[in-house]
Amino acid sequence: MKTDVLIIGKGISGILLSVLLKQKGINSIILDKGHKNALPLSETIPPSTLTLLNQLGLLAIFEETSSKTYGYQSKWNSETILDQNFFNNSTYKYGLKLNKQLLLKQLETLITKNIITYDVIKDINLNQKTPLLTIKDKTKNDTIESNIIIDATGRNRILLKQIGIPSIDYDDTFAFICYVPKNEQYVKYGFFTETFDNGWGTVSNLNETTRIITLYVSKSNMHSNSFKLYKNWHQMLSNTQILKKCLPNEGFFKVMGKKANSSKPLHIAGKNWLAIGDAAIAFDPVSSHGISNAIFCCKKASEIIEKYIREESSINLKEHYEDVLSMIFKEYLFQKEKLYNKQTIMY
Amino acid sequence: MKLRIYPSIGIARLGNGPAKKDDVVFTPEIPWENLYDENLEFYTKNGALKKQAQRFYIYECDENGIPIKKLDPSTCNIEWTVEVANKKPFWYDFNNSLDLSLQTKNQNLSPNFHKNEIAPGISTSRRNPNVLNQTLINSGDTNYRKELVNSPKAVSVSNSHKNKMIGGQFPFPLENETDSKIASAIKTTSKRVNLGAIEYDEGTLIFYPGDGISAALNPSDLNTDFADNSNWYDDICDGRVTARVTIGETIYELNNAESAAWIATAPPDYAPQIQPLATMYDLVSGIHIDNYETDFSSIFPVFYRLYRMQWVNLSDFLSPSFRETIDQIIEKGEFKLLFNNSNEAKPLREKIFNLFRDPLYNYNNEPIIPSKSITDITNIGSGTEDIKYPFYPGDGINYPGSPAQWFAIPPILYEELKKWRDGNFKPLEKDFKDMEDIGKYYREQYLEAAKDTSKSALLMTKAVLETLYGGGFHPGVELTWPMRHKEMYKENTLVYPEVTNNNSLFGLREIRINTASKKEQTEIFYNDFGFQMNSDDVRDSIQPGNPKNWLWKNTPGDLTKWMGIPWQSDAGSCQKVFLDSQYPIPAWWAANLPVDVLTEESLVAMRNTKLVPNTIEYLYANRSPWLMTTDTGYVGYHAEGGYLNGLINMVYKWKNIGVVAARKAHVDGIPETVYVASESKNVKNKTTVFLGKAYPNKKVTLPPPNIFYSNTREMIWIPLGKEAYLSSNSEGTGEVYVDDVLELQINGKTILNIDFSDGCSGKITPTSPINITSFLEAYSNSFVNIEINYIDNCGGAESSSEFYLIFK
Repeated sequence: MKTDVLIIGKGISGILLSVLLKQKGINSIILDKGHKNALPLSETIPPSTLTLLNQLGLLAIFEETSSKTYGYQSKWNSETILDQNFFNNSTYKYGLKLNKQLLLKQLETLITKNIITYDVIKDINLNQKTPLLTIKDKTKNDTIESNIIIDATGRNRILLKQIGIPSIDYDDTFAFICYVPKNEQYVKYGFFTETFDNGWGTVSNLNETTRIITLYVSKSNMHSNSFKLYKNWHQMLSNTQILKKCLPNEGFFKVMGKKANSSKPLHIAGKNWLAIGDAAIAFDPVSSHGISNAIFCCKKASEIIEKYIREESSINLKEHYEDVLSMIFKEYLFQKEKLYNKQTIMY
Repeated sequence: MKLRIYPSIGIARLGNGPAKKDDVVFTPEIPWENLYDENLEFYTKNGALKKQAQRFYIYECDENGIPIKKLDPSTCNIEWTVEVANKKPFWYDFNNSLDLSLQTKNQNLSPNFHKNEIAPGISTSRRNPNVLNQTLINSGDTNYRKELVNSPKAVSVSNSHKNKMIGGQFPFPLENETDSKIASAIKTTSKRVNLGAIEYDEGTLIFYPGDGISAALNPSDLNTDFADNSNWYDDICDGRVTARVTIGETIYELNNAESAAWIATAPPDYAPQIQPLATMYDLVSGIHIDNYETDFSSIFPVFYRLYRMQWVNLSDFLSPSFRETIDQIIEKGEFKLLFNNSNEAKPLREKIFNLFRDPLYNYNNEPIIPSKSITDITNIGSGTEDIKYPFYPGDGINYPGSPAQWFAIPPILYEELKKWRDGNFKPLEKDFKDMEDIGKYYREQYLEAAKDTSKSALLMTKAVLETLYGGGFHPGVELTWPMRHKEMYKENTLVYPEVTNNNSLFGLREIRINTASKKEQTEIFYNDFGFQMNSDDVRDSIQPGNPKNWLWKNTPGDLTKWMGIPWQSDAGSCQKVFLDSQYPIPAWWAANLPVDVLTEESLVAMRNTKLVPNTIEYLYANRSPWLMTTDTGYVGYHAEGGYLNGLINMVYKWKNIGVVAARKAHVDGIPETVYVASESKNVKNKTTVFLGKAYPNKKVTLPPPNIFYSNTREMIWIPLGKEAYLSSNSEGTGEVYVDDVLELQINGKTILNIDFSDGCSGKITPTSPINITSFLEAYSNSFVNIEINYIDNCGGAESSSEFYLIFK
């Protein structure tokens, strides 16, 4: 099998990149490790990202599969609640709250023919001019030849692991996620962030009946184990103003854990491969940049890949891609330090 | 080309909901349009009472001013301007209608009012009498009374500035002053009293009323009177709506009485689909009775309105009542005699005619309504004659024994009724089975007429006036007695004698308020009659050329200044009127301020399929006092049902009382459509989850069985102890269907499979909201994924209603 671009991972980055490449007339194949029923997380993208989506011609499909949101409130280590209203933005006066499953399903309809499912990657050979990748599914092996291979497997970084590029963690933030039924507490804009003694948390309206409360705590924090059980949450959040009121008075709810730290692989690109989305740079979710980063990466990557293919591999991916993303990550770390220094979280 | 604004008279009704066009109800633009709509919701999702907003349009008219069609806003620039005021605290107390002693040619009033003085006008003195016009008494230079008029500057909107508040104050600082002198004198400051807001919306103007806030300047003052409370303010208003239209180089100023419109705000209509027995349109038409070719459409409305009062007043529901009369003739199989001009039908027509009170008001001996000055001697020799229809008090209520204590239908309606009695009318040709059947037929006539762009303009004005009470005036609900005089109108002419062929419905009229010019306004805006106003002032004022003639040149605030202040007092007190006899008990303006209602809770109780028919009948007949639907002194620990308590609590409870609205009954043995009072609290404890969209009717393209629409909702919480319904609207009241099969899966397991085609019978039968509580029981207190599928099973066509899951 032969294609221009081979993308590993069928998440938002992988599908988005495939769609953008198709717009440029470049073939791609997506490798999908099969159906995983991910829980809805109600990710939000801010107004500034809508400008980017509009440039990419993808705004309509995002809007169709999401609901509008008009701002957020936060209480970040302060007595006062900060109200961020998107109405003050210049072009788009709203953000989007995504229904990610629906969005992926819609995006997939644009590229249905390019998706191949597999069980394991048996071999990767990057030493040739056109790298070869062999996959195995239940019955047979398949080798796919392409010009360039993309890692779009999120924090799993499957390709990078396979070729021995280490990940570097910049903190050890862990997210404890809990779905709760909505109660009487009103949450303006449906999204609120608040700090507490051991970390910080968000409450986000998911649908007509349900909210997601997520608490972010350092793994090394001595109390972090207590957050695993919902019954401890009332106590752990007792000093908060809004978060505690969003906890239903009765009932026990399942708490799920998820890595939420800032991390980056040692390298984001090589001679004939590169990483996008969380595989490239993964942010601590306080920035809520996950999806926006995926969109930005895909735009940047699709431009660079186009050049790479047109100019017959003469272009240096590290210089044109890795260095740009590394700079963004550095700036992000700098901003994060500033934000975290404003508080007394026990890290 | 002439341009005119329509409707020429608009009405907006107070609500504490937001002034946003998606969250208000609009004043109907076609008469009868909304009468049967079972999906109207009068409270917002947050439980606030929605405002009723009025939309205005500009029409191109011919040289005679007859409207032709709506002006296309894309061809011009339109700037709308609105100038309103509230003059109530500045004006006079209400004792009774001051036109009752007049000798006029006005056909709305019986000559007996003048000749036999059956209910003389009572002189009245000023509201807020302690506030003085200093220029009169000590040659000072300040007329403090001007501060009693809340008169914000005119505000304008256009395509470039689309939204404006109409900010007002009470007391209103004098010209060139920043502070109110009245307020300073009592060591306070002026209160912000906004009178509404306006919006430019694609060439039209939307007028939003105020929030319904009433209060006293001195916070401890209670509103103890039904109409007159000094120190009080409210946010009712009225005034002119003008426009400047620029087409190319030409500027049209729509600012005179012929082209401009008038807006008035009014209390909420708590039964918007029940029409007043006699409407303002009847009075405007009845000032001078044109010679109508009578067909059944000039008889039916008064019957129909009286018949439908059963939904808001017990005396019109039980026996004797007009409803009972209709029930009886249907029972005998004689319903078609009602609209039949044959001799065979004459005895029935005669019998029904004799049930109505003659508006001529000759002395008779109906029961008296006791005076509020109570004595034991109330009824010696009175009440020997049966009480006539309608059972409502009239303008002469102040005088026990006056025949005008009782309300009579206006002469224009009574005259038509006479012709009907005598068989001098065009009958209805079709066969109709009951009152609602005919009602729906005439509604169709209005909808048909509205397709004519010329008639559509005049229908708007009629639709407004048909929702306003046309008496009895004490003082009334929205506007009062001056409205029945020709002097109020610059123009009042019959343009189309028939709404549609052979259906006159009293035709369509061009009606314009007699407004003061801008120059006249500067001279007369603060005019009054001094310490006292009486019938003589009104008598003088209607003489052309008399110095008091200014009374009829309307400036902002002049239509509503006669009404009670605060409006809640009158609205809360005008309920039942108790007589010596215990049945029937008359009541005031039940079509807008209901008296006895069927509650939504009763309806829900009746839907219990385990009930036997008798129990359903009892529940149906059980009507509750409307004011009990909230706790205006009836519910709670310190339950006091007293009159004063009602007045006082209404000031803040008005926004929670039930609004009577049409709902599909879904109960055997009672009417299909019922009108039930639902309160704001009913809106609150309800969760609505969207499941699937309405699928338009399409030809099937794939062979059956085929899923033609599917939707998944993730992580939906199923609460414990709540009823769950599938409904096609978010209120939980809409019928549902799929052509052919609905499938519902929870966490991948099919819990519901409903075949609406009844095994491909060729007919799809929509059903009432489906109670699925038992199917969800196993999942209560958990998060689930819900998948909804619409399945085509029979080929042919595929379609569906919307689907919501409602927990309540």
